[in-house]
Amino acid sequence: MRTVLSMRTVIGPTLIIVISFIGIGCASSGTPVTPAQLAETEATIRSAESAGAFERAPDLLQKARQALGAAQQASGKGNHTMARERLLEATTQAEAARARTQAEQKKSEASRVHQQADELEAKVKLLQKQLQAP
Amino acid sequence: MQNRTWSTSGLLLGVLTIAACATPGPPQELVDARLAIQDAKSADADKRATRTYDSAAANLDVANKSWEKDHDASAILHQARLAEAEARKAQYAAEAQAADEAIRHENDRKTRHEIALRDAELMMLRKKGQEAELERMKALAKEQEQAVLDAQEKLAAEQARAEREAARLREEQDNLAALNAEQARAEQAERELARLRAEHDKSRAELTSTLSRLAKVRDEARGVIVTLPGNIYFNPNKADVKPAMQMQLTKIAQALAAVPDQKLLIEGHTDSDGPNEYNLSLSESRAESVQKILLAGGIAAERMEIKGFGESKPIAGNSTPAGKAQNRRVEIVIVPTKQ
Repeated sequence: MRTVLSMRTVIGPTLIIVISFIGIGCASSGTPVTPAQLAETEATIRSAESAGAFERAPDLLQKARQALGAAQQASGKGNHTMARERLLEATTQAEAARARTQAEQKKSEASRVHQQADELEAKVKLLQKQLQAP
Repeated sequence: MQNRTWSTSGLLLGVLTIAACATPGPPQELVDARLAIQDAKSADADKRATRTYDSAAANLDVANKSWEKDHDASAILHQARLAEAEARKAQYAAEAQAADEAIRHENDRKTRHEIALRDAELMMLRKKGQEAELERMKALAKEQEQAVLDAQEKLAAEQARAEREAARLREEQDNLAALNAEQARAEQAERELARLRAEHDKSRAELTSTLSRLAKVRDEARGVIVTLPGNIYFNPNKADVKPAMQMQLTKIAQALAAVPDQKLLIEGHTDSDGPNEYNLSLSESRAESVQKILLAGGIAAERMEIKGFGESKPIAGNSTPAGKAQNRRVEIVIVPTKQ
């Protein structure tokens, strides 16, 4: 009986604290995200997709999409702080996806140019060898 | 039963308490963020994408501190996720920058090799061109050499022909010169002959003129003939010249001495009276007598030749005394010099 009482004594305040936190959280939600902000994040994601992120950074793109969905969900629930946080995460993830896409493209370009330079170098060496031949 | 339930509950509570008191591991988001920041650092994002990297590092720092302080996963998730995303963004931006540099480097390298390739191709073309030019020059040189040989051969043939022509011309010139010389000599000889003839004619004319004053003279093809009438120069049947005519004959000898290069034929003739042998002897003796006087008069002996013809060569009829008188004679034939 005493134990039951002790548990009640523990659980009760805990619940109160949790509820208080929720209440505080709800009370501190602050400014809600605007549709324009959501649209801007969506545009950032689409821009990354258009740049080729589907192929080159699918994991980051997925995280961005998930974060955007979470932001929208949180916003729908009135949890504006979380919505803003997830929206910021979504935007950053999309930017990271776009950055990786661009980096991969540039690496690919660098590799391509490197190969071209190697081919040219080989041709030059061959011609120089032929030139040196009597 | 009730006790057993309570003891189970107590055990569970103990486990929960231990679990609650034990330090929990960091959430996956924080682990990922830490890994991402390490990757970003490895990509030199702290230098190449400093602002984003610093932002990620700051977020991670907040997350780390929050976690170390409260071990409240929910409180750091946003910071951790944001830190990871920014770290990745910085990493990829740094990688893109490095790739840009690599592209520039490779483009430079490519450009250098393109230039080197163009130069090598030009050199190859030049070499091929030079080889072709060399071959062309060799062929040209060969042609020129052949042309020179042909020209030399032609020149040699031309020279030989010219030499032959020159030799022929020299021969012709020599011949011409010889001919001219011969002609000159001939002309000279002709002139000399003419002169001699003139002199001869003059001498002969003078001689004839001189002799005409001393004796009877006639000019025939065999020469100038001086006739010494027998009845004037000789006594009948006598061979010696009359003393009165010896002086005259000496004068004739002096005149004949003026033409020392002419032979003198002294021929004696008689008329037909008397025996032929006698006449022949008489005529020869008279010729000899004349010769002696001429010899004494200065005529060289080798110039003179005597002959007695007797009555064999009359110049008139022997039927009359006048004719016989003409036939009795000594003739001095002045034989002209052969020219």
